[in-house]
Amino acid sequence: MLAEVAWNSLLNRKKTVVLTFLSLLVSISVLISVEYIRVQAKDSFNRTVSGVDLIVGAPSGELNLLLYSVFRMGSSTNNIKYESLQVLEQDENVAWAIPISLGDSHKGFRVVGTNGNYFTHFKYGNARALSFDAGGTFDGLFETVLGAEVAKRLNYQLGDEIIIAHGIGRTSFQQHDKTPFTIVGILEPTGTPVDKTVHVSLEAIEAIHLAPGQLVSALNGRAPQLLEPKQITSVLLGLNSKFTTFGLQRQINNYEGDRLMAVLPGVAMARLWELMANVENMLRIIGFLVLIASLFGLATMLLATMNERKAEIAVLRILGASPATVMSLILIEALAISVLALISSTALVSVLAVTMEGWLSENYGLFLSRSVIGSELFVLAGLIIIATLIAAVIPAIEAYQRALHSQLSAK
Amino acid sequence: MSSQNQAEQDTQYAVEMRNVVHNYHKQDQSSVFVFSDWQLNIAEQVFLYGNSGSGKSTILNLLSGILQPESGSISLFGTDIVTLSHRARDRFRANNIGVVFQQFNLIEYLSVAQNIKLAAHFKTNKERTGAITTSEVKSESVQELLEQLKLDKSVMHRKVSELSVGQRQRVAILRAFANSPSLLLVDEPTSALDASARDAFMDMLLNTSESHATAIVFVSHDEALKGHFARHLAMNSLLSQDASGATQRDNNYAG
Repeated sequence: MLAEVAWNSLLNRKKTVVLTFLSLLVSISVLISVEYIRVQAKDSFNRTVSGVDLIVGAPSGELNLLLYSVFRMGSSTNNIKYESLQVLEQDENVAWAIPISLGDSHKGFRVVGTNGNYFTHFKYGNARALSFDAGGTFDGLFETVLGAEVAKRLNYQLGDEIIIAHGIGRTSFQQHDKTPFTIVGILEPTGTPVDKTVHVSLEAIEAIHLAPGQLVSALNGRAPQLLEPKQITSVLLGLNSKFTTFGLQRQINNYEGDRLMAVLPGVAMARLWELMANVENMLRIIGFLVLIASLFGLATMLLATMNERKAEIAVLRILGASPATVMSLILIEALAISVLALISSTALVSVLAVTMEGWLSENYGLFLSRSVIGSELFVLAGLIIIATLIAAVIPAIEAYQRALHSQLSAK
Repeated sequence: MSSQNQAEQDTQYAVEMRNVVHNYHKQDQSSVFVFSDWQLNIAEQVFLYGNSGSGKSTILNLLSGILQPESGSISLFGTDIVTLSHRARDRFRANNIGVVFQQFNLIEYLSVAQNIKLAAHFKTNKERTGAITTSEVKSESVQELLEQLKLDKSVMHRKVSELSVGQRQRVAILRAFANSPSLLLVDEPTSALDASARDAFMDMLLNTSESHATAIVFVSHDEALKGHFARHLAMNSLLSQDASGATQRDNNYAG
């Protein structure tokens, strides 16, 4: 019955209630989005690479090396020699090595030059290996394997031919259009940057950078050495034993044949996440401040209407409602607005998440894998409800006191 | 509930006020009301008249238990409401007292049916008092009242704020009686009505209360209404001399 009264009372003050509701809707949506994206980012971040013990590249920053070799963000300052890969492959501690050669693109998607090890040893998420949705790995020179996102977005099928451009921009003036690539494989979606990658062989990377004349002589077998890889960007290493990680890292850093740097992906990821954690905390704080502002608005709205509700409170008292009942009526009204705003925000953010999923993964590498409704949302909902009750206490106490002192009066 | 039992054991009066003194301000002795002892029989109707500030509202607030007297006892159907706890007093009011006020009777944004339900909601011991429960808004007593008050059934589902003044007055009576109160407190309900509407209203109110055997304390400044009642009292005669020797006419608080 009280809920019915509270609901009708809210309907009676539609305009102020709707405005208060909207302000709460916006602030709760901001909070939910921040929390959702934070969790998703962490998730998507942590599942990007698994089982890689060392990343080797040209000396630059630890984070830079991680960003370009794993996240396909930014670019290397320098390359490393192909011989260094061969030296690493021969090391007794190394189980496998995946070469990565970056610098080209196809319609905004990064092209990675690598070898067959990539498809057998690269792991993501919970140590899951890559698998093919269609086709298989590349054998020939001008063959390519696409990530799931690339194929889906550009609507490519097996057997289609694509042109690879130099540079990583979406439009490139220097297209390697003499050398189209045939799609021989499409990977299953992984929710990692692999989905947005075009994979070719290391030799193919060399081939597309040759002058037309050189390419012809390389292809007809007169100068096959032209296709041999000379430089790569980085190497992902898997070791036989984790215990040798630090020893090998030191050896690589001190290697005299090339200028190399080895980083532990776990350490680099943790450091990168620390940087992001600051931003994330800022966003959360801002989110909560906006919520507090809206709740003050709610309290103000309830308090401001208290004068016009004098008569109503008197009626309730005369009917035998205790002051505590009048107080709970105000609390119910506040809760009703806030719970409605909470439900609407969840719906709103869910819809936004679905519609913006593609855009987020394309532009920010953020893969949304879970629904908005999760344990974080319940924690947040609990906090919002508690905060609402606290904010509503002032108008509720006001109502309580008015109820205590309300008197019958003809005027 | 003890108030109910007591009410059955000792029911010679609907209202009995003894040695009641009320003071709005503890410090300010000029606002003291000292009431003479008086009684109202079960199902008796009394008309209290007096000017603004004569203590009419004060006595209604005291009888309904909204205000607490400084001393003395106010017995309604044998229950001294002064000695009840706040909670018990609120419940006693819900169970036994109805009010018809010019303004403070109906919640504007609820429908008539919801208003009646709300009153029933606060009432305990529904079987014993015969009040309608929340699910029985359309019960016989309400149907009867609708007929008696010449109200159309459709009025039940309209918001109070959409009703005309005349409908509102009748709905106010309906609401008050739907709860089967033993005592009805009425305050200036007719001041917004013209003479013929006023007489029609008075007839309806008094006939309904007679058929329900409800005691009425009717308060007004309009002595013309006197004719409707067998018993009338001037507020002046209810107030005895206070400590400072003058009959109180507090202008700030009483209606």
